[in-house]
Amino acid sequence: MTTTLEPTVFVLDDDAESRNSLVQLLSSSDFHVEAFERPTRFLEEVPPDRLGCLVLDLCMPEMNGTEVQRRMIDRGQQIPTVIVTAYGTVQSTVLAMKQGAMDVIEKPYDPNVMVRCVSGLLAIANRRAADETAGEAIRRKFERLTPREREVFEQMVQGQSSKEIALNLNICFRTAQLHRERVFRKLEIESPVELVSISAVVSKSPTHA
Amino acid sequence: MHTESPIPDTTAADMYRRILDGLSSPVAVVSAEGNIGFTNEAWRQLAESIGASATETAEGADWRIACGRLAGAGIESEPELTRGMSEVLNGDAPSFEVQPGAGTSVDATAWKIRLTRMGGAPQCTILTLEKNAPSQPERSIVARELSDKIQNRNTELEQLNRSLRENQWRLSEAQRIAHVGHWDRDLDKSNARWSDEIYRILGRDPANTESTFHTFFDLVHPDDRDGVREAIHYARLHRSDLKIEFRIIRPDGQIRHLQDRAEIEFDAEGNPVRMFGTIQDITEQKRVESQLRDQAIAHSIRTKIRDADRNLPDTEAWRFLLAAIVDGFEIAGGWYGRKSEQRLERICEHGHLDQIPDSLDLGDAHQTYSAEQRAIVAAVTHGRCFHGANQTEPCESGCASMAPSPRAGGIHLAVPVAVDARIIGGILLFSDNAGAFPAERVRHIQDLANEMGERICRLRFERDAAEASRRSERQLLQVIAEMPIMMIAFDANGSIVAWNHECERVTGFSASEIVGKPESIERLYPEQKQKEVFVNHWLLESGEFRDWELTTNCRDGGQRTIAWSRVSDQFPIPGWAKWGIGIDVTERRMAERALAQSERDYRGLFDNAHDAIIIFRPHDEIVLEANPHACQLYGLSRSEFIGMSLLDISQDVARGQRKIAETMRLGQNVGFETTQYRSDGSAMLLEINAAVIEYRGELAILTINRDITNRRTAEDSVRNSEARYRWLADHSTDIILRISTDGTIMDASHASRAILGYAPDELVGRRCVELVTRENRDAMNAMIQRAMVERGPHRIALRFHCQGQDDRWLECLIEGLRNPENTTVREIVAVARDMSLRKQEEELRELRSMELSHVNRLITLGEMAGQIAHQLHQPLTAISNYAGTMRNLIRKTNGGGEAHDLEPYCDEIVRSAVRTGEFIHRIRAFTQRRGLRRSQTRLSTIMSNAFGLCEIRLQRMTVHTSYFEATDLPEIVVDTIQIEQVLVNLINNAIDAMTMREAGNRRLSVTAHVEPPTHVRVCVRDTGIGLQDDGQRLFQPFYTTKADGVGMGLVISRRIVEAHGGKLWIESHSEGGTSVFFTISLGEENDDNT
Repeated sequence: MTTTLEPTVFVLDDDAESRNSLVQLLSSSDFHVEAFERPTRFLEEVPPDRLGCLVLDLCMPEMNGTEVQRRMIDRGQQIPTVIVTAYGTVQSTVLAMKQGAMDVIEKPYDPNVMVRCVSGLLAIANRRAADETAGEAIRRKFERLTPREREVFEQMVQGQSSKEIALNLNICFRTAQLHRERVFRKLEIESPVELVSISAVVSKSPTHA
Repeated sequence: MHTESPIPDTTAADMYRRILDGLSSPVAVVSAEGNIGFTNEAWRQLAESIGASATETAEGADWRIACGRLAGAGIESEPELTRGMSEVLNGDAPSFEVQPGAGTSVDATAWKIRLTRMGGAPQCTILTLEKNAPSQPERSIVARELSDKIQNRNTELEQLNRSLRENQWRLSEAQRIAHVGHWDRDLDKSNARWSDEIYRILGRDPANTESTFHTFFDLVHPDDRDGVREAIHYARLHRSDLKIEFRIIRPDGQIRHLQDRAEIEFDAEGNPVRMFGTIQDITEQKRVESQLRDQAIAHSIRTKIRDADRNLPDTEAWRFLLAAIVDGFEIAGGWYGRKSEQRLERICEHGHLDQIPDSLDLGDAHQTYSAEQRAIVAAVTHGRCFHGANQTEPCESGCASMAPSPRAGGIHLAVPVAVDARIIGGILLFSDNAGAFPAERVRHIQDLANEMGERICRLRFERDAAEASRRSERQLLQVIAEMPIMMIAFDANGSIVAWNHECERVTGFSASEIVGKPESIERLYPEQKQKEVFVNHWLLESGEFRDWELTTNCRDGGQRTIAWSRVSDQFPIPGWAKWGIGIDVTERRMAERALAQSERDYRGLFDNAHDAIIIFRPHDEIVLEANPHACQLYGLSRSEFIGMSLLDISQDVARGQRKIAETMRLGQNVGFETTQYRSDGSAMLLEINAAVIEYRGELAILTINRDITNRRTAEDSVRNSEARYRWLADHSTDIILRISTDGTIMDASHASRAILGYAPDELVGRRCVELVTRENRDAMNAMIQRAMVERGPHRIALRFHCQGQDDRWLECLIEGLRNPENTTVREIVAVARDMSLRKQEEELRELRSMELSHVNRLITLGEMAGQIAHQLHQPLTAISNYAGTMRNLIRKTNGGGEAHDLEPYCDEIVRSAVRTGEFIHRIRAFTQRRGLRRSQTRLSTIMSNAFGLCEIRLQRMTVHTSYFEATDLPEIVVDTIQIEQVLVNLINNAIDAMTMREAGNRRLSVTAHVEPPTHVRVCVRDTGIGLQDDGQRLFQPFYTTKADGVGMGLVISRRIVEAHGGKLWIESHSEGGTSVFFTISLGEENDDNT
């Protein structure tokens, strides 16, 4: 389905009145909206990798907003989230922020604020998705390296010269140079500076762990 | 072939033999068949001298051959001899003589053969060899004489022979049966004469057996040969009869036991010449004898085993058995081994043994062991007896066919030892004697071994059991000795045998001073009576007794009270005839006595108090205790009084209850007055001092009641003093009127001016009823009439005319003053108090209460701030969202898009706005500061308001709520906001109590019923955690179980409910949860609204 690929605003609020009105507001602002009354339904139906953002009510009878956040963290869902609360305490707000909420909006709010916030979150979501794709490409390139080349790569990231690499890995200088060249070629990079950013991506990758 | 020997019975034969032997000529008796029977000495000597063999000349030989051999009668003379014989036998000639070789040479020394017929039957002839020498005429004379003698005795012999024939047959049979054979032998001859039975006994064929001593001697068991030889030698030497027992080994290998009895004949010089004897086969007898002996031995061993020391170690026991077997059965030696897993280990031995290893591997029996090792291993492995030197096959039947051991040392026997079919070891026995292990004996040995095994196992078991029992007994005694309870025991003679540490500790008498001492009872109980009781209980009576208390003397001279209890005789302890325990109850008794004393003191105080004292339960005012004075005061007996409720005798029940509640709250309440009735119905005014006390474990109220009716009467006397009375009256804020019995005002106090606007003087002389409004006059008259009859002040509210003012309600106390002497009413006193003042006071109090409940409402709302904000923000958010939506849509339309229908959004906005307004209104109403305002309403309306206020909380907590109202529930007249407040308080409490419950188990139910006759009862029930304590503290101000609570909710709620003429109480459920009940009066619309 094409809709699943479309960035979606998920609304999670138990109060029908404010939920329905928010859905109307966001739809009229041309967002694709999916609303949920119960947190469990949301967690069951929305897969962690769905592209979008979440408008999360803090006070819900079944499960409060911070608990929903915790569950999402547990399953690796990193959806950008804004917390909405009718009567927020400092404590719950701080906890929500700590658990990765991007913003907190108090009810009642200016509709413009809400719309701006949601578009900001969607932008973040889109960027993350793009990063993810780029990272995937880099990882694929990295996969091409032989174990020895990866060792050389590590040394290079640490800023070692060919001479030092040869010494550290107990190989001759010429071999070290050859490895270096191959690493550059396989990773399709020009300068050692790019190595670092690749290293940053790769070190997050599970294949390199 | 062997013919019957013609030898008569011993006497006849003896005589016969002697005669024949007395002859110097060789003589033989020849049977009709021609066989030589008996021969005389001379004949045998002749035969010996010429070296003739026994077959030629001895008994059974053919006479013709013998003649040929001895007398030189050749073959050619045989027909002549035969003819001569038949002649003699047939009686043709009395005798027959022939001279062999007569034709050739007549030698003086040649033997002449003479046959003489012998009379009697069977027919036989006497063969005599005679020298022809004429120099020996006497011989023929002798022969003749002999013949004559024989002839003379024919008759006699015939008889003898007859009986002989019978006897022979009988003898032969007897011999065969008794295995007795007989033999005789001339010592100068090699051959002996053996009867048939002897051949049978010796197991030899008569046909090819020489009946010589050597033949016999070869058969004798090698072990017995020396004995036989020696015995014969001894008998010869000492000329005694011979009697020996010995064994022979028959040619077929059988061993037989024989007994030989023989006599030796000696000649005149004392030389032995002849032996005669019988041989009896006593094998069978021996066997039986041996069996009997074995049995006796086995029996004695068995007895020994049984009588053996029970504490004998196992090894010693086995050694003992082994020694008994070896010695008893005369076996060379033995060895006992215990079977352990795969090995057989030697644990003891007896007698001389060959080298046997200390242990044998049971799994390797056929490999390297010697025959006896193999036998014992096989015996233990297969559980059967094995014996022999080289025989390892199981042999059930024992040793009956035992061959002599090829081993020089003898034979062995291996016997398994089993207990309960489990083999525990084996016995290996050795003997030099081939017959040492007959089957019977093997059985005995096996039985004995098994018996020993069983005994050891049984003893071990018994030892273990005995040890365990001893141990447990020791432990019991130890426990008894150490336990912190006195323990005493008596033996059958009634002296103390046990006296434990606790006894020592309590009495100070050590065990050594008490135990076994006849005077110890005396020391403990010097008093005769106590001693008797002690002795009676412990020694003379039987069965159990409990807690018999005796004052016991101690070593230090003090006394302790000890409660003795005897343990039933059904639980005996060895050596103790009677025993039991004692508990030192001195302190307990002292405490009890002190308690009783204090109780008595208290009672004394209570009973003798000048005032009436009553103790009653607060909630139903049931009297728990009343002193005699109180009984007197109320005119009731104590038994009537206790159990009755003061509610029944109080004039103003509600006030009484208020006072009680006050007392409960404050702990005491001093000096209030109340009116109660005596049993005769008369009222009395009581001044009451109340205090909360604990009475028999529950809270109660103790009141000291003073009858101030009497005091009033006493005060009357003071009042008689006019001056004082006036002073009192004029300083009172109440109007005091003295009214004569006919209703005329006699006197009025100054207060009349302030209240009624009349000076006292203006009132005197008027009729009292004129002071009140018309409609109250009857009431006043009635009350005055009542005062004339009934004692006590009578209370009534009356509306009085006031000069220059509105009429006023005054509360009057009307009382008749009686003459002390005749109790007739002298005059009436009326005390009137301005109720409007009191009303103001009451209103002030109510106002304070209102303030308090208002504060509570504010606090409640403060606590609910979060929910309220939520509830307000939701619709506001919706309004804001819809407005934003509309703006978006309008922009789109303005930007050229299609037009949108905005109406639904407007509707939503309106709906949300209205909802918000309603909620704000509800909160405003709830927080309004106002007086008590009663109105007629339905409880359900109040209920839905209360639920509305708590809605968000209930939702958030997912509390399942229900409300049930009885169909007959009427409308009620209450202050709706206050009742709503009560409900909100209770709902909030319920929600708080249920936070700990899981979401599905939070239920809140409210039910309302009519409580006849005039109340509504409401129950708010939750499924929360319930109450932690009795719930009473919940009604104390500022008591709270909540972290952020103020602790006023329930206190306020109860006050509100009480202001509505009801009660509020809490019940906790055992299954969890709490119910709060409250009742409220249905109320009257026009209660008052001023």
